[in-house]
Order: sequence, then C-alpha cells, then structure tokens
Amino acid sequence: MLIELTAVNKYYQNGENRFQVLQDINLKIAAGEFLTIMGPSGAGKTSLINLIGFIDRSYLGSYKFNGQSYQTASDSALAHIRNQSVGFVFQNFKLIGNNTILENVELPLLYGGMTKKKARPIVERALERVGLPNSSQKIPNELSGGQQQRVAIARALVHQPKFIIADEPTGALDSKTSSEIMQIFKELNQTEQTTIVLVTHDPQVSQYGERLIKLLDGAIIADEEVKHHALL
Amino acid sequence: MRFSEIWSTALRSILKNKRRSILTMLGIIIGIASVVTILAIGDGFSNWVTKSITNNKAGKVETQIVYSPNETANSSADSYNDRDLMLVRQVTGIAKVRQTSEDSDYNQIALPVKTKNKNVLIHYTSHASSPVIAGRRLTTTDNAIGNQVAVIDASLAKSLYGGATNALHHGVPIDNQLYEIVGVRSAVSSSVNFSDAVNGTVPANITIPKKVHQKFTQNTASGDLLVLSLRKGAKASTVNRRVINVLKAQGSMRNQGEYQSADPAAEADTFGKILSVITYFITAVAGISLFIAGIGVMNMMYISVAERTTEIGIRRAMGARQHDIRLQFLLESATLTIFGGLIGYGLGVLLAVAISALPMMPFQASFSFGAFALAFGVSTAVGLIFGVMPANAAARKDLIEIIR
Repeated sequence: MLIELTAVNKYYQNGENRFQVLQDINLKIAAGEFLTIMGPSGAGKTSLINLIGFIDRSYLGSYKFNGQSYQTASDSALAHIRNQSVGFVFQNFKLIGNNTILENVELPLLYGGMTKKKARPIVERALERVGLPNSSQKIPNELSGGQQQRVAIARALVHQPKFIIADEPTGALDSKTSSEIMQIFKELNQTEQTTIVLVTHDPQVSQYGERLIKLLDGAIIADEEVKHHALL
Repeated sequence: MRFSEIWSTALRSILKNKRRSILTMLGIIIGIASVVTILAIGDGFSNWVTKSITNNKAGKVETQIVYSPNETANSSADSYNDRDLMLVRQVTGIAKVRQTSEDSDYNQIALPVKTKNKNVLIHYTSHASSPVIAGRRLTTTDNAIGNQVAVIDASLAKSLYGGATNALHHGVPIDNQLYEIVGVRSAVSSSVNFSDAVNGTVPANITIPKKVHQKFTQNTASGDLLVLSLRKGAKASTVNRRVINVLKAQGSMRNQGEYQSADPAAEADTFGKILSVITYFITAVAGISLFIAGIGVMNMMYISVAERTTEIGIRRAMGARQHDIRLQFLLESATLTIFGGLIGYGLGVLLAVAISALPMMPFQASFSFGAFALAFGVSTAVGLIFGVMPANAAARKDLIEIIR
C-alpha cells in the first residue's frame, strides 16, 4: 500500500480551545489511484493533504508511506522524502514570479541534486507533456492562468514522484480551462499510472477521478467509487 | 541542491533587483574604497621614505653613530677599536656594523678667484696625486706628516696667478686655511661636474692631502662614523639609543669624546607616526561605514526574506532543506557584499592612482596583494555576519504557515 493512514487525529490549540481538525481518519491509497477529496471549507481537506504530503507531521495516529513512518523524521529527511515522492499543485499555482518557467520547473530536480544542464532537457519534455513547448524562457506573468497551472503540473511531475497532490487546482480557473487541466490529470493517471490525490469543491471536477472521499468536520463521511456521468 | 546551483540562484536574485542591490552595496563600496586608497598611499609613502633615507639598494634602514673627540683629544687615535665594534654588533636589532668616515673624497667649494667666486672640485687624497706639469706631486708622506700643501690644475693656476710656474709656492685658501701650491697639473675640463666625481676618480681642480683636511674639519662636523644596518622591524631610534648607551659605558674613547646618533631614519619614525595616525583615522571611519553598510545589508535581507516568503514555501515544498534556504540567503548577502568589496577595491585603486598623479605628490601609490585580500576578506565577512540572522529567519519559517 502506497499510503496508509490509521486512526489519525489532529488538533489545533487555539488559546484555551482545542479544535479537532481531523477525526479518526482511516485511509488507504494504492499506487495508481485517482482519489478525489471533497468537503466544505474547514472540513480538514488541507490538513489531510499537508499530512499526506510530508508538510505537517504533528498528528496522532499512524501514517505509513510505503510501509514506513516519517513522523519523527528530521526536517532534512522530510525535505528529502518530499523531493523524491511528492509533486504539489496548488490552487494559486505558486510559481516563483521573477523566475523563468524553466527555473520554476527545474526546482525539484535541482533539490534532488541534479545539475541545471542535466535538468534542462527533462524540463523541456515535462513542458511538452503538459502542452507548453518552447515556453521555458518566459516568466509566469506572461502566461494565462491555465498555462500557469500547466507549468505547475509540469513542475509536479518533472521528477517522477510517487504521487501528485493537487489542492483545488481548478479553483482559480474558468470552467473551460478547468476541464483542460483536469484532462491532463486524467491522462497522467491513465497513461502513466501516476497516483493523484486531488482536493476540490467542485462536483464537476470530482467526475474525473475514480474514487471519492467526502470529509465533514474532519471525519470521512463517505468513501465511494465515482459514478461517472457524461463528461462535458 | 548543489552549492553551485544555490549560488547561481542567489546571484540571479541580486541581479533581478539591481537598483536595490547597488544602493545596499554603496556603503561597502565607500568603506572598502577608502581603506584601499589609504593603504595604497601609505605603502607608497613609506616606500618613498625608506628609499630616500637609505642609500643601500637592499632597502634596509641604516643609522649612524658619530664620535666627536674633545678639543684635548689626540686626533690621530682611532675612534673605534675592534672591541667597540664587537660590542655594538651584539646590540639587538643590528644586522651589520660598518666603520667609515663621514668625509667624502671629493667636495665642491666656491673659491674666490679675482673678484668672483668660482666653483672648483677638491679631491682629498691619502695617496700620491696625478702627474704634474710644474712643481711636484703630492706624496703619501704629505698625507702622513700633514703637510699643508696642494696641487692645482693649470687653468686654475692661470686664473689665480697668471701661469703654472707663477702659482708655485703661493697659497690657495680652502676652508679658511691657506695651502701652499707645490705642483700644477694639466688643465681639468670645466665640464666635469660634481656627480661624475662621486662616481669615480675624476681629475679635480685642487688636490690636497686628506689627513690635513680632516685635521681642520673634524672639530666641527666630522669624527668617525659607525654605519649600522638595522634588522627588519628594528626601530632606528631605539637601536641608536641602545648603541650609544653601550658605547658611553664601555667605548674605548668614552673619556676623550662624545658619541652622538646621526640618525637619518629618525625622520622616518616621525613620518611613520603621522602616517599611522592618518591610517587609524581613515580605518576607523571606514570601519563605521562598513558597520552601517552591514546593517543596511541585514535590513535589505530581512525585507527580501519577508517579500519572498512564498518563494521559500515553494522551495521547501519542492524539497529544499532548511540548510538549502539558509545557504541561499547567506550566499545572496555575501555575494552582494563581495561585489561591493570588489567595486570598492577598483574604486580605491583608481582614487589612489589619481591622488599619486597629482603634481604635488612626490611618490607613487603602491598596491599590495594584502590590501586586496583585506578588501575581499572584510567584505565577505560583512556579508556573512550580517546575513546570518536574516538567513536563519528564512530557514526557520514554518512551512505549514507559509504554504497556504
């Protein structure tokens, strides 16, 4: 099992009040799955993916990645496992504004120890893969939102991670661009068996996945196969 | 990430903010430039002083001890014996001791000829003089006994007394003493000048026995000299004082005369003092400038960290360790100050060259590798010291907070 969460609880201490953000989460994700997490604001979606993506390790319970726990790992070890295993796609793209597309996309490779020279052809291939060839010298502001999100996807997959975490990747995009972006995720999952964990508000978006988890007040209230409607 | 990649990231972020980077560098540039300028001028100045007070080619500092006998002293006795020399040689700070006479073998004096003064070259010799055309030569006996005699050249004889033979047994006044003309040599070309004479044996207008000349002059300025070559780093005035103390206590002639220091390097001490005061002053000003520049760098780095929080978050999410982030910001501030240091060094060199090109400057600025190393080292240190805190602040940011 790629990802295995058992009895995970997480609390925020806010002054006197202790606020529970995750309640007794039990979740298994196998390699090659396309998992969608839905839920209203404050349901704990972001907390859950931060935990899965090795950004947050202050939780109770057990999270095993490939059978191994990183809860007590050092910051450096955590950075390393993030670099090797996870690709992140964010709602607001999170590209470094005054760096070129090339410099943005090559980051995971460089932090993995690669030289710029070696990284460049790999970056070009990743950009081609998301439909943005010949744009490596542009800066993010020269691109549309949809194109920026494509760059972010290229950055998330350039180092061939074990899974990609996408946190509302279509939240800032119009519906046409959204479906283009979702098409890329779907293709990635189907042709390359990339494991994808996707968070969204949008029921339309959840149609692209195979498995749907619904969160409410920090607890999983539903875990089901996606019933595919006719896609737009 | 590899060090080279982190560094090129840092470099790019400096270049992307050119105006802010240059303004931040300004303090470093001014500080380093002023230090480099004063060092170059100071080195040039002290080279010049050393050269002008020492005649030996090795550039070593030499000082002198003069012995002046009392009126009653036996003037033929040697001023220093071997034991004296040995004692002096043992004084710390002395590399070499040489006994010599202050007198040069040649001198140029103004001789009253008829109504005018004429510049003539005198040769003091202890040997026999050149062949003569009338009368006799000087002999070693003249020198040994102390005969007050002179050989003059034909042209001088002609202008003084109308002819070579007429001049014989007349007097010629030198240093207020009358010397008897015993011989006349062939005319000496008037184009011979003083500096030629110093470089070799040159025919002189007047030749007189050395010892006779010394007898008349030694009570005023002469007396035998000890030339002391100093060891590197030894201070002229200190060594001279030590040597005089030794000689006053144990010198062979301590009861017949007086030992004095004739110290051409004492001036150098004074110059050196003035120079070091100026250097300290400029260094203090530059130090303050560099400190303030450092604070400027720190301030800019804090601003940079604050406005690049998202970038830090992205980098951390992509696998940057705290160490990578710290190194990136540290290299950024160090690169900034090293650039400033190099520009400052260049500016300092230009300034020093410009100053030494001024017509009133008698010396050239001198540039050492030490000054370059200092500029480089100080600017690197400022960047690292004032960059550590902002870099740590950047590295310690909580990823969960900044990735939202």
